Amino acid sequence: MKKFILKRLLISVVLLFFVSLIIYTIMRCMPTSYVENQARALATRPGAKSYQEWVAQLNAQYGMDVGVLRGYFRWLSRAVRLDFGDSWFWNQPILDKFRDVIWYSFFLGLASFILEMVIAIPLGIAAARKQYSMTDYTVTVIALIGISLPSFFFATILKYVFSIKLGWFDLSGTVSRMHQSMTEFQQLMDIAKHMILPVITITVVSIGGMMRYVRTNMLEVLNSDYIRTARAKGLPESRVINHHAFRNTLIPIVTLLGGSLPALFSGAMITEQLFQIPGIGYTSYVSIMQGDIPFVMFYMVFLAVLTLLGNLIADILYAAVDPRVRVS
Amino acid sequence: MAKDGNYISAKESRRISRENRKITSEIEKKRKRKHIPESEYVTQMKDPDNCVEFDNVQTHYFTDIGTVKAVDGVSFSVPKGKTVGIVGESGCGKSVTSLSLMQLVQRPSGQTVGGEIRFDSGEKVINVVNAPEKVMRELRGNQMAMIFQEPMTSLNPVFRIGDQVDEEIALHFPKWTKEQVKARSIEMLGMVGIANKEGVYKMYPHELSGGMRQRVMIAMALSCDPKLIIADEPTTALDVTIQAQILDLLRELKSRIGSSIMLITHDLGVVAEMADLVVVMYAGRVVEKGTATEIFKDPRHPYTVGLMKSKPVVGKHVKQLYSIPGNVPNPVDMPNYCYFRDRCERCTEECKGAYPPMVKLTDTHYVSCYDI
Repeated sequence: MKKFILKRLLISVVLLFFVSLIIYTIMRCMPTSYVENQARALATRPGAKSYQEWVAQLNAQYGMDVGVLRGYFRWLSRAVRLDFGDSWFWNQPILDKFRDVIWYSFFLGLASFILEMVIAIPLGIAAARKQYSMTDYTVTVIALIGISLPSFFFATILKYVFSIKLGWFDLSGTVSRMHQSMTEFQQLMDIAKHMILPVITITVVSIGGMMRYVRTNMLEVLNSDYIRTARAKGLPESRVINHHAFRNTLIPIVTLLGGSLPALFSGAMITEQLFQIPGIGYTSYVSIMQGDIPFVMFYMVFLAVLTLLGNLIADILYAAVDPRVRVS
Repeated sequence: MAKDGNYISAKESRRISRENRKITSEIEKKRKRKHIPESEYVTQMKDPDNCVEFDNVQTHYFTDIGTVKAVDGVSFSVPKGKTVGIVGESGCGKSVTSLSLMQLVQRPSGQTVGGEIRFDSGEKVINVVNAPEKVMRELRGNQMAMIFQEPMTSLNPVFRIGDQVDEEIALHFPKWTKEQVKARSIEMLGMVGIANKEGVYKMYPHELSGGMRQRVMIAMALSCDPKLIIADEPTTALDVTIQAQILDLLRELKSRIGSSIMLITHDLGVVAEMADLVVVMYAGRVVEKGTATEIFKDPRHPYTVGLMKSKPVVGKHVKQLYSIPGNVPNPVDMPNYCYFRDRCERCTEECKGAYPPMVKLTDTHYVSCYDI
């Protein structure tokens, strides 16, 4: 097992190197250049230097005066020491900015992830147990609606109904107007209340696929021979489903869970944008639009690390739930 | 409408599935009632020497292309302490008959719609067809146990062998302590000829070979001393050496526990070796039944005769083994004439009429054919 993990980690390092190289190259080729925009803005000031002079000066200042490869290795030599530098656009150390925004996204992601599991798994199992029944069709229809709804559309409907018509929630943002004058607990509840609509949006949009997945796997397991054996033993149906069938359905679900680790941290770009939540999705979106190379590099590499880690965790979990793949 | 193979229009399929749902949901509703009076499922045996009596059992599958009468009026009985072999080619309803007895037919599309299966559980005689789930759960595993044909997939891959055997014993002997249950499991594993019983107790199914897994299945089936063992092609997936061992084991265990065996197989050699009585099935019906000697020495139904001809005989050279011409008819919406008519060499004018009734030849030998 140790050897397996070590090998996987080494492969991951190689992968990361190439992933970051590709991202860096793409970033340098992007049509939006932060430097050029800055230079243009500065050059319009009265009595300022010409645009060309500003570009040259800023390029040198931001370290953009070297080629892609040299620029990459300069970035890499700092990144391996966990020194990601300052964000150009946000004007503060990247790690500070990251710390400020990640928790919004993380809790948003975590809440919708837990909700998704809690709703999708039992519904998927219920649908499989009563295949082609009313329950099954209802679940399927809900799942298809969830899959087909774009998040911006669904979020707009939610806003229209619950914010504008019913007035239960604020339209956007993370705090209400009286936030500063509240006690600490009230402040927390205030933020939580503002998260309700975004969480519902993310959950509904992503729940459909999960439900279908659980249903398909459960159906397959329920038709297998060992379920018939379990019934032939005289076990009550609840134990057949919750013990014998569920443990087997868990195998493919667990691999899915490992894969969703990056989703917890990556933020929901569109949903955060719609609800004006300053999470990592929103921040990285703005950074990309502004051509903030250091921040985008950090964000992308962070996601790449999480993806690789998620895959590794999925493999380890797989061995934990399925005795057949345990490496001896 | 002329049936063109299995093709039917979407409209027709929708109509059929709507009708099916009406029928099955009614049966399900009847089955799911909270209180089913005992009078509905407690009966008397016709012959107290029998362990199980099948009486005109009908198990149908309501599919989208029509009703499949997988078991259509099957009647035979399994006497106490005897082995009954059920033979017939694939898809003739052997397995469904046994699943009906356990009430394990895939519901709601599969339903036992008629007849009686009387099972003598010792205290009461239960009519399995009408018995509620709760009563069935006490019978399954405890009074009647089943050995399935696929040992490779019949054990749950994620639980240890010990846990799976323990589970059944603990279920039917709730007063036993954990140690007692474990001791019994290990004893059972030893009884079916597993040398390394403590080791196997802790293993997962994938660490065992097919023969070993089948032994575990048998240990599991026998762990509660059932009155009836249903062996559904127990040796089909195993090689010949292991097959012989498993059959020896079954025979030995039968004489030790004294239970009845319902042996389902399409291997006539196995039947000849094991069975006291033989039931020959074809397309969901019993075409001939009798003692093993009667069936093997004096087969009357042309299908049985064909089966006997198609098995190899030691010391006799043939270029090619005999095979019965044609195929089993399409099971959807079977007509009411002898199903074997189109493949039969002895077909007469009479065969064009209604399905032939059971004719009694001796006290034990019955055949369903006009030409005997």
